[in-house]
Amino acid sequence: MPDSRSALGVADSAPVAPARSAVAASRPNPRRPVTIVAVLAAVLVALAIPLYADRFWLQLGLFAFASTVAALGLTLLLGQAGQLSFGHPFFVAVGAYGYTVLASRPSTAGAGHRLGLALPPAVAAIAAVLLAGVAGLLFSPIAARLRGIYLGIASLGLVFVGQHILFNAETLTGASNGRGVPAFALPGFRFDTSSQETLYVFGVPFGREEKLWYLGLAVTVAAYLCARNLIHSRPGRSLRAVRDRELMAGIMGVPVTRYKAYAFALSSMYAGLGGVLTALAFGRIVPDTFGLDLAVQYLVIVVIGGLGSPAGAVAGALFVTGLPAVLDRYAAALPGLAPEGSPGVISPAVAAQLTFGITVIILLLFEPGGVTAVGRRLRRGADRALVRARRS
Amino acid sequence: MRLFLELIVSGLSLGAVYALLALGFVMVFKASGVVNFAHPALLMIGAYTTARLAADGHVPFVVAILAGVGLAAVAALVVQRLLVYPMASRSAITVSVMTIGVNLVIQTEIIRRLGVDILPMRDPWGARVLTVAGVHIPQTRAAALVVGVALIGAFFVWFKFSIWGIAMRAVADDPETAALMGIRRARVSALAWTLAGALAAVAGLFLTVYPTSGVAPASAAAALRAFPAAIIGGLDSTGGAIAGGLIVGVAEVLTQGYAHDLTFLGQGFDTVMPYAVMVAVLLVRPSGLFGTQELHRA
Amino acid sequence: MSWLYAPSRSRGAALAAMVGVLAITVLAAGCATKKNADTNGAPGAAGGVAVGPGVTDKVIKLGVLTDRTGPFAGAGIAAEQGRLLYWDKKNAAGGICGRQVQFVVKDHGYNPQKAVTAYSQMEGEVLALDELLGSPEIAALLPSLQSNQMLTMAASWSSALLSNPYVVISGTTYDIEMINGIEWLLQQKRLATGDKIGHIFVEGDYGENAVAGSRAAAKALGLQLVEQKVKATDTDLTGQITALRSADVKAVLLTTTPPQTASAVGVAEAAKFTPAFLASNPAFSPQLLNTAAGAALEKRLLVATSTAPFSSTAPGPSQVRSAFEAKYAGQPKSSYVMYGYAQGEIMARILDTACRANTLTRPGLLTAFQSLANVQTDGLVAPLDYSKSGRTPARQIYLARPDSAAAGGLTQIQDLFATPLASSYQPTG
Repeated sequence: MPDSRSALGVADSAPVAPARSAVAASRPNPRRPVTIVAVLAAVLVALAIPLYADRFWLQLGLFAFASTVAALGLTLLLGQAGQLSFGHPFFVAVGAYGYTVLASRPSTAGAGHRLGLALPPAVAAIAAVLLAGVAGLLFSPIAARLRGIYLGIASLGLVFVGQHILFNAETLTGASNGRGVPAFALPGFRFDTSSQETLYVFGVPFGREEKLWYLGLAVTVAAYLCARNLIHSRPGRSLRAVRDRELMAGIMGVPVTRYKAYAFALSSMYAGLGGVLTALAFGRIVPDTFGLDLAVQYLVIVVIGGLGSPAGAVAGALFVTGLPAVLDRYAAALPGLAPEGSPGVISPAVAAQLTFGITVIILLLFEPGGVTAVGRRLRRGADRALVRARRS
Repeated sequence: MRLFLELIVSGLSLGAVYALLALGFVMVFKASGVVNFAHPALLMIGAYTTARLAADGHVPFVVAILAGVGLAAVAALVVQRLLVYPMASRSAITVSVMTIGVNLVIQTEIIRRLGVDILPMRDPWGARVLTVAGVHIPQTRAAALVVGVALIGAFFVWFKFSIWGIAMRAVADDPETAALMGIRRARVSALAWTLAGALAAVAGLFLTVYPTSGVAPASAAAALRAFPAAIIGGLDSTGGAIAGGLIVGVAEVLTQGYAHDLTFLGQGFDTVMPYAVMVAVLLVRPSGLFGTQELHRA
Repeated sequence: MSWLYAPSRSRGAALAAMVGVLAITVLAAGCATKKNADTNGAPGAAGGVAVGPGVTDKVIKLGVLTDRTGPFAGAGIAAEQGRLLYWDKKNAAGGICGRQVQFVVKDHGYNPQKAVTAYSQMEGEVLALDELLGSPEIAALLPSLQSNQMLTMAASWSSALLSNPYVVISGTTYDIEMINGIEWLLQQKRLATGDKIGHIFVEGDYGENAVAGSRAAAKALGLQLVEQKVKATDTDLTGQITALRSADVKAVLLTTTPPQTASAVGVAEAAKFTPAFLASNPAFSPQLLNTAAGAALEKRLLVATSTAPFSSTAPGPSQVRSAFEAKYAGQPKSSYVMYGYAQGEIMARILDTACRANTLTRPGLLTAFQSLANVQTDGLVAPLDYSKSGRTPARQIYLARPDSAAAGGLTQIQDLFATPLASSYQPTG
């Protein structure tokens, strides 16, 4: 893939420095071995984590995977296709509740009538993603008519309407009490903590979180590679053309409205997939999850990560999902904080939240390109170090 | 019929308050291109300051409200100077997300200070009700209508005739030419933010007096109505912001009042109604009622 | 369109940077391969007592998962005060089984995702949850509580939670509160058969459960119910009160947040609309008496609660009052303080019972809990019966009236009682 990129010599994921890739193509990339080693190391670490990390980190990781997949969709929509959407939680909810309803068995006992189709979980998951895509397609004519912030706020309306439905459609969603999410299963293997027999891997008992970790990792990596492929492909270039110069793109033969609809449908499918992962990570979903807070969270993720960049979506999701939880966990160790329970003084939880907010502000103030721009700086620094090392 | 009239009047007075919020929101958008997610925080700063000062009764209400408005205006100015202005060359969406962080910090701090308290405003109108032609309207709502109309009227006069108003319109219309003519965009932006803060504080006052019970953490959520109101009116039209605010107010109160007849929509639809109206408006006019249709140049 | 974004690139180094952060975080979290111990309480033994997670021979750790930064932060802090008042005393008197009881407190900010994450961290560290606050958070964690056998005192009185045997509810459920109140109003001739009653309720388990009770009561007692659902963030209830007034209801039930309660009663008073107002127990807070609606609340509102008012003269509440004055003089006296203290009493009963059976394990706690047929708290809470799993532990309520002269803002006007319908009502589903 790097070869085709540099061979193209034209602006790829963004119209920045096409000359650089042409130059890069003409001499061996000094970073290549480092990048390969880094990626291998990343893969090894990711595979080994369930052997070492306790439940907190695994649970956090599951939520991070789910956020990443959904954020990939949003960064594609916003960064590549140029459509601002706050409606992402709606499609995430379609994925989450879609999977739940499709895979649950219908019941009339206890909590009242609940619909369910009892499909095999893998089938239900795929169907839920497709359902989210269809929902995106249905919304896309509205999206095509609107521009910029108008689309953003209109899609926010979708979130409120969606939440309203979730709170009221009791037979489908369980309303405010929520609904249990059926465990994921592939033929012959359940992603669940079994009470009968425990799976041991290298001596470590594997329960629900450990098994779901690998599922989440695989899905996230696949989604990431798909996103990267899209960006460097012809449809990706068409999307960017539509984003930058819509009229010209139309004149050049890009079916503008159709591509915008595809972009929306694709991003909704990513959201739906993120929704399935969210449902599996929770184990029981409630409508309160899929509201304004989540919409704001995704927006922060894609901007902090770096717009249009899949790696940025990954980094942003790690930051926004992980940092508050880490701050919460270790905030009690900060000196000068009152213990929880004294009113009017700063408790660890308040300090954690303030720290997160201030971090967002400072990060964007000093590096508005987001985490990927920080990565770029690090890479430039590493480049210079390598060049100096070669000279000496 | 009396019910309908009462609901309309109540909706218009609430709408006037939303119009103040939407106006500030639109001003900031026109001047800096930023979607200000910190608007609820500005509202809370104003409302909380006024309530705390007025609480023990030593500080006269007028002084308290002036302090609240002043502090909110100053806070908005500080945000603009320290955070928004240095990021002027960055993309607007980045700055908008930065305001999310500002909102989080300010709201966390105010909620911490509020604790269990529900702070009444100690306003002079109290729970008294006016009766005009058989229609009951709370004095606070009548005051909201009067103050809202006065402020909006003053704003429009200032906008149209004063130097700063002209400067603002110039910057919104054509920033490059305005800059060439010597108008400092940063100053205009600072003014816009300051006014937005002040307006948010005034709106905050009327959103925390009767018939609500005072300043509580939930008070901030009302500021979110500014979003659909601004969109309905058209995000680059200050006149549109007023119309949008009034429409949202009336829609919300009517839905509340007739909720029993609207149960097929699901209960509690009144908070969703502004967004439903907004989507309906956008389908017909994609840039809002009074927004300029964007020209798409190649 | 270009204003929307600034283009940026991504390459492997960004991934590498991220991986570096990830690796450092994992290493920092503790490098040793994790323990094989079954977290559901592989019974160890300490001093002859079988122990579960969170129990050593000096300490018992209990978890508190609550709201410290969100809309219910005030309630969470007040409950903490009550809890500390009780456990400071009990720990000073020797604790449980010769061990000091300590708390691991985590904030979820009223966000279900944060709650699930925080729970996964504390799950292996604590024996039971002394407090879990927030209906959405409780709903999201129900399956985990069951699979972890985690006894949980839920800060909720919803009968929908009764189906989970590990959830401890410390009083009468919302639906039965409403049934008691409605039937009492009938008995007092403030309502007559055929009258209309209104119920303003908040979206969520709290409101839905209460309205299930009022629906059942209306049906059984021949009344017509007019429902009005609101969101917890609504602050102005004019529309709802206006609608109820034009429906000519004779009583209005309020299952709302405290600011909403004050708004509703204040608006009605100003409109000279004077039905009987009856509130669920979380719908009132003493701070409301400082608001403009204070006088109206004192005149019109009744509160149904199974936790005794702060000003009650029974021995239990009196003890809490003096302890509160000693430790937290001058601070706001929320009704949640009493709740927190009552929580302590109940949890201590469960732990003591388990201690006597030499099983400070999770299954041991469940057995102890289900053996308690009559928990008396010196008048702090109605007598509680936990021996019938799936049934509400209490059916009685106090009726109280807001009173600015009383400590804690409430004066009891009716001692514990349960009406016939409330005594026989079974929640459906």
